[in-house]
Amino acid sequence: MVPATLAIRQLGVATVPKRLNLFALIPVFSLAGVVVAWDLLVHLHIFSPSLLPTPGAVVEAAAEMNRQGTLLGDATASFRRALSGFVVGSAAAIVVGALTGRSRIARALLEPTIQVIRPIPAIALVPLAILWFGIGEESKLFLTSLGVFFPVWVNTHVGISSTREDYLRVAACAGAPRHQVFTSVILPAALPFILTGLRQGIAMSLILIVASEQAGVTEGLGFRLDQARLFSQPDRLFACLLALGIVGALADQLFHRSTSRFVRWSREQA
Amino acid sequence: MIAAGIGIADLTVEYSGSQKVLDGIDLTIDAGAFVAVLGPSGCGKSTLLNTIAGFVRPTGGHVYFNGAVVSGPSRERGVVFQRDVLFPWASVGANIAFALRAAKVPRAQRKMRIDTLLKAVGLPTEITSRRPHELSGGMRQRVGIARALANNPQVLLMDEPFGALDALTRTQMQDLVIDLWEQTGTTIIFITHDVDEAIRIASAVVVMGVGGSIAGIIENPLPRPRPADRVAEFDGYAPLRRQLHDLLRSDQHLEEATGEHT
Repeated sequence: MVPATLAIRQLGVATVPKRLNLFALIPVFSLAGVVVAWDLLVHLHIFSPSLLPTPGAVVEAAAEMNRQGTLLGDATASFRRALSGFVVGSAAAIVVGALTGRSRIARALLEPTIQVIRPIPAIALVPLAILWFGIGEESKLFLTSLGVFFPVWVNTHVGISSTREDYLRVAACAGAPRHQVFTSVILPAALPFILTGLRQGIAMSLILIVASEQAGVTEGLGFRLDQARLFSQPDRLFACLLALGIVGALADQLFHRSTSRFVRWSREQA
Repeated sequence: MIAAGIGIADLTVEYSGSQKVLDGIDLTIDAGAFVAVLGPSGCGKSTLLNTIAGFVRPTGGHVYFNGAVVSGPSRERGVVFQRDVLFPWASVGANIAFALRAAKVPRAQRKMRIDTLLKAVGLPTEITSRRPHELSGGMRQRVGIARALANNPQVLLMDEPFGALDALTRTQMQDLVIDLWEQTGTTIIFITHDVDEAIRIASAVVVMGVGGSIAGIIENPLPRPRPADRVAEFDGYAPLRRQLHDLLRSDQHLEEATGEHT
């Protein structure tokens, strides 16, 4: 006789992984569905191929661009620009956020100015960036770092200024000096906010790179997009969009996966 | 007021809106005493503790500690909070090490001190690397006590520390606090709204009324040890309990009566 519990457990072992596997396949099916639907839209002449190329044509164009060595070079150039803007902008934002979040004087001095500048869409600063810095790399760095600055600053500010009062009381009772309170209490407590801001900053840096690469460069996904439009090459245009999507998703996931373990506690708390 | 211990003179605390949370409190707590502060919620007992800790500035009057006016938090007055406030991002060991580092205990000695403190609160030293969310409520509160003890405080201020725990765990935690008091001679001020808890642990019970004043101070004559399962049968338990209840109730009547007239 097999005890009932054992039989159930064996059943469970047999069925559970199968259901999990099916579930894991859903994204694959949904993606395949989108590609098929896209293909049908063109083949049924709902969209003209000159506006919407078939998936096959896009893959061909991407392969062709890759053979010419442009696609990878463009992606790398765009990524490098986005990264340098991200590093400069977020480093400044974290320092300023730590100041405005902690110091009442710094907040009073900086907050009004920043609040006035903040609602301006970063894209609207493209002409200003060109006026000040020309169309070279400095102009792109200025625009991207400024765009990255605001989401990172706002989130850092909120995180740094919202430390739970009783955590600060624990630190005060222990007689902890200011720098220890900052590095061991305020900063770790704010980290989930800061990482959220940085993630928004990554998205912002990619948006601004595409905008700023419309002028003054000969390499980059934004530049290649504009070229494809200029020469009416929808297949290349879509290949660039696809590459942008992949670069963005990779950067976002890479960041999220490498940092999430530092803030796992904030999800465990909930 | 030069005596060792805590002196409270004409202490008044008002929050915004000029409503008095504490109204003219006078109280002396000798060094080494174990005092429970008993009162209904909203009577200002937590504010009293926060003022002794130095978190809250008095509007009027003073809190003295060993003869000096309390002007802010200090290592000599450790606090165990209502909810445990362990840092959720740090391991048990790192939570205690935070206090040790603040007290400038050399790095080489911290590991040993952490083990000693964990043993003192009845926890296995293996949990050093665990994170707070992996522990039960009772264990977390034990770590909280260990962290408060890390600075060898002269006074331990406990703000309804076991209110959120189940009855059995609460009894065990009471045992722990009684043991710590007997072994270390630390002054303990223990806030509670539970009459039986106050009777079981403290040597004197300060009863607070709704108006933020002291309704009465009752010495607790029950001999120690006071086992949880037998203390209720001790001579003097029932009268003491009745006396405390009467004090709590009389004050409420007074409040209701004055409330009707205004």
